[in-house]
Amino acid sequence: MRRIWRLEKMDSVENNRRIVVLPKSMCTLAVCILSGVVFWGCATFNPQPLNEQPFRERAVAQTENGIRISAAVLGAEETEAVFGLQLYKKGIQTVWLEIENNTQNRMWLPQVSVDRNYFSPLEVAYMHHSGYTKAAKQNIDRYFHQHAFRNPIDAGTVQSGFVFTNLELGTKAFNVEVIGGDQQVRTFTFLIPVTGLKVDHRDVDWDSLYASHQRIDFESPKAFKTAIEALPCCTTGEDGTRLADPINIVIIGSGEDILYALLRSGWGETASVSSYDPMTQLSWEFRYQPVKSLYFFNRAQDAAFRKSRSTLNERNQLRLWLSPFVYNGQHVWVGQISRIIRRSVWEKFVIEPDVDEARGYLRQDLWYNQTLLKYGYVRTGSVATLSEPRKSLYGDSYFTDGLCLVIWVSREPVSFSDVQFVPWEAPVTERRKLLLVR
Amino acid sequence: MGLRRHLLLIALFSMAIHGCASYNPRPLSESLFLDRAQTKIENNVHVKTAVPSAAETRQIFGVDLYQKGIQPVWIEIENRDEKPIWFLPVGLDPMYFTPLEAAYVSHFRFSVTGNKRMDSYFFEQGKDSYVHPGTIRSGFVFTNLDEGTKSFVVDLLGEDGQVRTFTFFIPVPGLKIDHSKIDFKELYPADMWQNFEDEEDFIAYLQGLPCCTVNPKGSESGDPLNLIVVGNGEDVYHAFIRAGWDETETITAGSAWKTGIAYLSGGHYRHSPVSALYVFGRPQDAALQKTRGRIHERNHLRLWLAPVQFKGNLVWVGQISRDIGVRFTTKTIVTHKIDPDVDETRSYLIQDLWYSQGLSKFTLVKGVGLAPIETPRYNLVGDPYFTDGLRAVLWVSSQPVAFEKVEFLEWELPPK
Repeated sequence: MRRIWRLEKMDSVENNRRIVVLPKSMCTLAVCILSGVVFWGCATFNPQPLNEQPFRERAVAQTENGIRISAAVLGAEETEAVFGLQLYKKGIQTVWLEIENNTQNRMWLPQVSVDRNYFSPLEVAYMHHSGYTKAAKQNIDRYFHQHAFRNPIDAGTVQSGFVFTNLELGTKAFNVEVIGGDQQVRTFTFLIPVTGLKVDHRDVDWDSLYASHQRIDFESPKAFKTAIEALPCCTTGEDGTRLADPINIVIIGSGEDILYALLRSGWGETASVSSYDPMTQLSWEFRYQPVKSLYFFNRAQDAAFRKSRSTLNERNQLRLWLSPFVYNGQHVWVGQISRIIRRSVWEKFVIEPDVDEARGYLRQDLWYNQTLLKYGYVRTGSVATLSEPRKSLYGDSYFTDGLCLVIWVSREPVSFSDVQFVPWEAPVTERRKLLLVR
Repeated sequence: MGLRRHLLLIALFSMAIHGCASYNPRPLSESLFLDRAQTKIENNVHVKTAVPSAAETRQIFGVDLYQKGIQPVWIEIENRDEKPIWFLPVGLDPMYFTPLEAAYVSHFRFSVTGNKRMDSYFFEQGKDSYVHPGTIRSGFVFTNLDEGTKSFVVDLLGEDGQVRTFTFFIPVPGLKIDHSKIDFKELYPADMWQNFEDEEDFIAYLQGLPCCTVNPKGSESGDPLNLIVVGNGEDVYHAFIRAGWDETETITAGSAWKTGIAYLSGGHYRHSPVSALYVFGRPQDAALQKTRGRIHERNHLRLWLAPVQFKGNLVWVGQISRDIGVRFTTKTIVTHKIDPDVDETRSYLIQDLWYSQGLSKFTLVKGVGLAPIETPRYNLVGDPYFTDGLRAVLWVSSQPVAFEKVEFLEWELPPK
């Protein structure tokens, strides 16, 4: 190694310059190590005095019944600027809240309404203790304690501070609930884009997807049902010839309502393919990794969502395409949902062969999260049984009763018992029998 | 010659693949676990459920599902109503497994035919979710493993919008639980019991309780007793279990081993044991915990039955702490570092029970003694804590309490 270096030195003038540079860089390294030692030995914690003005300026505000709430979500860099610590690295995201109480009663903010598994301020502080002196640790504790949101909010006062939540990129969806002496619950819902990751649906130019003459309006349920039945059964690969997974979901509602419904139910957005580079992504961005593209309406999905279970390798994923249909003035989305049960040894995702399970899961999921308004079924494909399954594009086999779930989502919470069933196609009663025999 | 030998080897090998592991589950009717089944009836719908133990599960499914963290729950729904009803497995376990998923994780390594049979057997044992009038549907839902008592709800939705909710608490053989060994009635002699009808007297009693837990000798003080729970055993138990708290195992060699593995692998062993703290001269009567992310992130709760009743309800004295990490100590080598802001943890518990509809009333009362952040007190393992000196008094309920119905009594105002 050394010899080669010497040879080069003699060979070119350009390399001569490198020789001069080399000791210098070593010097820098030494300085670095030295200063590192100094830092580790007596790291101090000196955050800037907190200036809430920037949050207040861009905060989203909502008012209900005498309570005004402003909320802002801090990005990774902003968090570091405020706390002098990298909270994002530990999976913690700070939400700034300001609550103004114009009622006659004392009010409380239950932090669990924002995040059921929120972190306590001193817990976050403790996670960042290592490498600091005893005095600095105390400073960190005090700083977090001082700036966390404190209850109660007395009548006629304003209270502000941070709530420490689990990290979510893309769009942060959360509720803020305020309860108090008047035995009333006020619920505020926020959807706030987080700086950093670019999600797939922000890449879509919605206006240019369909020209105005391509749009098809439906008023009659019968005509709409016929149009859905006439859709191709399945998504395809890029060339449009080979059939992939079946279309088994139709969602009716505005894009924002669907986004809200899915995010509130714990679904996550995925990154846009153009902005996502697996080599440069930070580890916590892995869960936003784009899904493999499938094609419908001659294009890849407009938006993809995933909901992980215990690990990222066990998840449900949903792809959605905006259709040219408009039913009673509402947009119609066509989708494909499947459940991934494991990642096999060969790095391949294994898809649950009973695809109807995933369809049923989404219906229940939205139902429990009070975002489902109505549902019904339409036949879009034929029956494939367990013993004679159908093959999808990437070699997965699946079986199905051939029905497609149609759901209407709602922005306003729908109580459990108010969800309506639209009797277009009867659900299969003897599903297990139907798919087992033959 | 060489070719023939190769062929023979291949033939032998493929026989091994297809024939070796045979899949022989024993049909449901041969298992005894159905004897433990519980039935509940609401408005013309009968729901019967049972939970097989680890050994019974091995028999019925021919593979060890418990080892994979999967617990099958058997459900039979009889619809004597006039409308079809939907059964929603998400209500039972939001992260339930599908039958083919449970089969997939149990697949044999080298048996294609065995795996195929397993798939269709599991699929057949699954639960249909649509129940027509006049029919009975039964089958298994594959849930995440809960040892001790399996608590779950079965939500049924009629197509007419009628909601029926059935709550089940089914003991599963196999786990030693703290409180199941204790005979609560025998804890105190009959003449020791005191009953309070008057609020003022009760407040005075609560304020006079010791501030903190102590060590076995009673010579040193530990964590603050910042919790009073009012309610009978059932109420307390159901309210906490519904909020996602787990019972804990008493420390045995086996359980310590399991905790060790969970700690090393960063995974979580939900029933890991807690160490004993002392009040009334004995260790806790019940210990519960709630896991958040990993094993270091848990909330711990210990309860002791007090020798008093308030308006006919039992009264429990308790201690709650939030584990925020693990640290080394000279006393027990490794211990959980607790959140020094114990009032924060106390407030979390109020919210937690409130949001899971297990809280009917709450208030605050003095008795712990003020310890400001500048001059904290220390628990038995040397962790500092600070507090406003108040205890939360919680009236719990086994019946769900609507969110806006929860009452706050102004015994003591929360400090600013």
